Amino acid sequence: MKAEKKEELFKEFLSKNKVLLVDKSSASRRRLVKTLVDMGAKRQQISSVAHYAEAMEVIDKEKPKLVLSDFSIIGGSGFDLFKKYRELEKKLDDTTLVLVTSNISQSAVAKAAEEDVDSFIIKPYTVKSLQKSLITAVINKLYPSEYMKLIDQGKEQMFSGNYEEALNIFNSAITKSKKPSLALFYHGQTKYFLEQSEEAKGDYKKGLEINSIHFKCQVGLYELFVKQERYFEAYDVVRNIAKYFPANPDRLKEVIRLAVRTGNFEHMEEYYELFTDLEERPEDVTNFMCSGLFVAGKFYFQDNQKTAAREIFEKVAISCGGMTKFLKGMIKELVKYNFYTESKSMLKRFPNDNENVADYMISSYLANLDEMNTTERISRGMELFNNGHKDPLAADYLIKALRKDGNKKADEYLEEAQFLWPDDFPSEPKAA
Amino acid sequence: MQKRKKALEAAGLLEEGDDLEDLGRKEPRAIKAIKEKSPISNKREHDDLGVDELDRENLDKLKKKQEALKKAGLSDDDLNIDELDRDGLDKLIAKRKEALKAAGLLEEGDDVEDLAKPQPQAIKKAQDKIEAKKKERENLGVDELNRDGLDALTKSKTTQQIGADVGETESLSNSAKKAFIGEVKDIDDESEGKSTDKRNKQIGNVESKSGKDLYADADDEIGELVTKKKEVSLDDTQIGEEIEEDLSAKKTREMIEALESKSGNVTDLGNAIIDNSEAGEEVKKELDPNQIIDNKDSEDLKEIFSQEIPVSTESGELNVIIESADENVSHVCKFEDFYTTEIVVIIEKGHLAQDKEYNVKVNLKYAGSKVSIVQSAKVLEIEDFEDGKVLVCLEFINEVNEEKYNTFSTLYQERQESISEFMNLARGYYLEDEG
Repeated sequence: MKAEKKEELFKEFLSKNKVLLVDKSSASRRRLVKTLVDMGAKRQQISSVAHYAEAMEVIDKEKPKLVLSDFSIIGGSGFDLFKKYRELEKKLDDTTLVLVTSNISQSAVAKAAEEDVDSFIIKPYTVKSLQKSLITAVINKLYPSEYMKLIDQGKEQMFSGNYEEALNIFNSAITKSKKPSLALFYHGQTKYFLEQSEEAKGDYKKGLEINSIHFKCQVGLYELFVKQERYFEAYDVVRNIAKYFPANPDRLKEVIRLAVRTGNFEHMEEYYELFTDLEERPEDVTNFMCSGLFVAGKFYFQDNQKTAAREIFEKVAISCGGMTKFLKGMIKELVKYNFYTESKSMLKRFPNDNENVADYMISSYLANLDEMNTTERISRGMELFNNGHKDPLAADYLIKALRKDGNKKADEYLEEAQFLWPDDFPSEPKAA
Repeated sequence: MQKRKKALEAAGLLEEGDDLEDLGRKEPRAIKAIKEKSPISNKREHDDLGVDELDRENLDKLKKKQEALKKAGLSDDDLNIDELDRDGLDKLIAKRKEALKAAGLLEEGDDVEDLAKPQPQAIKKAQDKIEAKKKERENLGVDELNRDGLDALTKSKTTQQIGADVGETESLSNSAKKAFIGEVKDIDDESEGKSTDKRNKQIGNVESKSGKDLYADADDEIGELVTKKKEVSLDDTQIGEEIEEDLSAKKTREMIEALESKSGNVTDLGNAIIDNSEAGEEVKKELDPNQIIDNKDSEDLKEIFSQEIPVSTESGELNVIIESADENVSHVCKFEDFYTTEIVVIIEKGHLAQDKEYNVKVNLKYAGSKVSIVQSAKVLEIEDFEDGKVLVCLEFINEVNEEKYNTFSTLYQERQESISEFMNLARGYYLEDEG
C-alpha cells in the first residue's frame, strides 16, 4: 500500500472513530489532542483523561478504537489499562493500543513487546514521527498482511482443535515472510498440542535461529524444556529471556530458582542487577532474590571465595528489608568462618524493635562469641536455650563450652540437641 | 530413549527398528547388531553397550553351547524345567555337561543350567543392577522438601533417607553434614576442576565425600558402563556437564514442587533452596545408567543465543536538573515531556514555585553521544501526581537552541527506531515491511 493511501485511510479512521488519550500531564494531553485533530480526528470524539479509573469509564462507555496511554498514569499504568480492555473485549482486532511515554528504558520496551502493545512511542515526539508510528500501527491493525491473516486463521483452527488444518495454514504463513518466527511458533505450538514435542522444539528453535529474541519462541521452548524436565536447557532459555525481557518479576523468580538448581551461582549478581532495575519489587520477588543471593554466598564460602561471599551477603542485607531469617542465616555463616566483625555489623541490620526476638537473640549470641570466655558462652548459651531460643549452631557452641568446662550438663544438652536436630547431632557434637 | 539412541548413533550401531529399551535384556538388538556385523576389533564397542563381560569370543562360544544343547534336546525350550525335581535337574545338568563335552565346548566354570536359558546370567546380572540402581534413585531426597520450618529445612535429611534406602546410612549423612556445617574440604577438592577426577566423582565414586563407596561393586560397574557409553560421543568436559544435567532433572522437579507448595513462606523458600543446594551435592553422585544425555539442545541454544541481535537495546540516559539561581539549590527531576516551548517534569511537591524562574538543564546520553540543553524557564503549571510528587510544566523564556534541540531530537529518533525494531523482532512480525 502506498504511503499516501495509508495516510488517507488513517485520516478517515481518525475522523470516524473514538479516541482515548491517557496522560498524567495536562500539557502533554493538550499537545496530543492538538496533534491528533491536526491529523484529522474530531475534537468531540477525543476523550482525554489523567486517571486510570476515568480511562476505564471511557472504555466502558465509548469503546474507543484508538487508545494512546502513558506508561505510568494516575492510579495505574498503561499496561493495566490495555490488559483490562482486552479482558473486557475478547476481540480487539480493530482496536489499536499505543504507549506514548517518556520512559525510554529497555525494560519498558520489552514489557510492551511482551504485552503485545501495538506501538511504543517515546516523548518527546515530533509530529512527523508520531504520525508515522500511528499510521503504521493502525493500518496494520485494520489491513493486516497476508502473513498475519494466515496466522490469525491458523490460530483459530488451532484453538478449535483442527490441528491438521492449522498446520497447513501455518505452513503457508511460513512462506509469506522473510522472518517467519511467529508462524513457526504457532506451527510448533500446534505440534505441541499434538504431543509431538520434538517437532515443536524443532519449530521453536528454527524460529529462534531466524530471530534469537523472538519472545514467543523463547517462551515456547522454555516451557517445553520444563515439561521435559530438562532444566539446564530451560535455564539457558529463560536466562536469555530475562536478558532481553527483564521487567517481568515472575520470570526473574523463575530464573533465580533455576540458577540455584543448576548451580549457576555466579549468575546471581546479574539477576541482582535486574532486580534493582525493576520498577516494582514485590515481596515474593525480594524473597527469591535474597534466597538466591544467600545460597550463592554460602557457595562462595564453601568455594573459599570469602570476599565474594561477604560482598554478596552485603547485598542480601541491603535488600532483605530486615527479614530476620536472612540476617540470622548470614550471621551463622559468617561465624562459621570466623568473620566476627562482619557478623556484628550484620547484627546492626536487625530492626530496632527486634531485641527480644529469637532470631536476634540467637544471632547476637553467635556474633559475640569471640568476645566471650567459656563461662559466658555457657551462661548466655544456656539462657538462650532454656528460654526456648534454640538453634543447632548455638547449641553446638554451648555444648562444646560445657565440655571444655567439664560440666556434666553437656550430655543433657547434647541429648536434647540430638532429639531436636538428629541430623546435626548424630553421635558427637559437630565442630564449630 | 533418545539419549541411548544418540549414544548408539555415535557408535555407528543404531539401526532402524532398534528396541533401545531392551538393551541389557535377553539378547538386545544392539548385541545382535554386533553379532551380525564384521568381527569387532575395538573392545570399547562392547563396553559402550553395557555388556563388557560379553566379548565377541564369548558370545560365539555361548551361541555354540546353546546350539549344542539344543541339538541334544537339552535346552530349556525342549524341557519343562518347572516339572523337574532336584534329581531331574541334576541329571539334566549332567546330560548337558556331557553334551557340551562331546561337542568339545565344555569349559571350567560353565554354568550349564544357565547356558540353555535365553537370558544368560551375565546379561541378567547387568540388567538387575540397572533396575536396582533405578529404584535407589526413585527413593532419593524427596521428603526433605516437605518439611516445615527453618530448622528442619536446614538439615540434609535427604541423605539419611538415601542411606536408609541402601542400608548405608552413616557414610552419607556424615558427608552431608560435613558439607553443610562448613568442613568444606571435600567440596573444595571437587572444585579443583581436574576433569578426570571430576568425572570419576560424578560417575559414582563417592569415596571422596562419604569416606566409603556407597554402592560398592554395583556402582563401579554401572558407573563404568555409563562412562564408557558417554565416551562414545562426549569429551571429558561434556561428561561432567551432562551428568549434572541428568541428575538434576528429577531433583529440580521436586524442588519446584516444593517451592511452589511453600509460596508465601519466605523463610522456607530461602531455606528450601539452600537445603537443596546441599542435597544436590549428594545427588551428583547418583547416576542412572539408562539415561545418556543428548547435548545437542544445549549446543544449539548456545549457538542461537550467542548471535548478535540486530538492534540496540541501550536504554539511554535522560535527566533534568533544575536550578534556582537565587537559592543556589538544584533538583534532579524526572523527565516527562519536552517541546520547543515547554518542558514537563516530575518533582517532589514544594520544590518549585508557581511563576518562579529557574535554569533547566536537560541531559541526554545515547549511542555514545550526549547533548545538554540549558534554558531559563518559568513555572507555568503545577499538578498533583502521586506519592507526594507533582507534575510541573515550565515555559521557556528564551527560544531553545535549534542546533542542540535537533541533536536531541535526532538521538531520540534513533532510540525510537531501536524501540520499533526491537518490538518487531520480539513479536516476530514487521509492521512496516508487511503492511
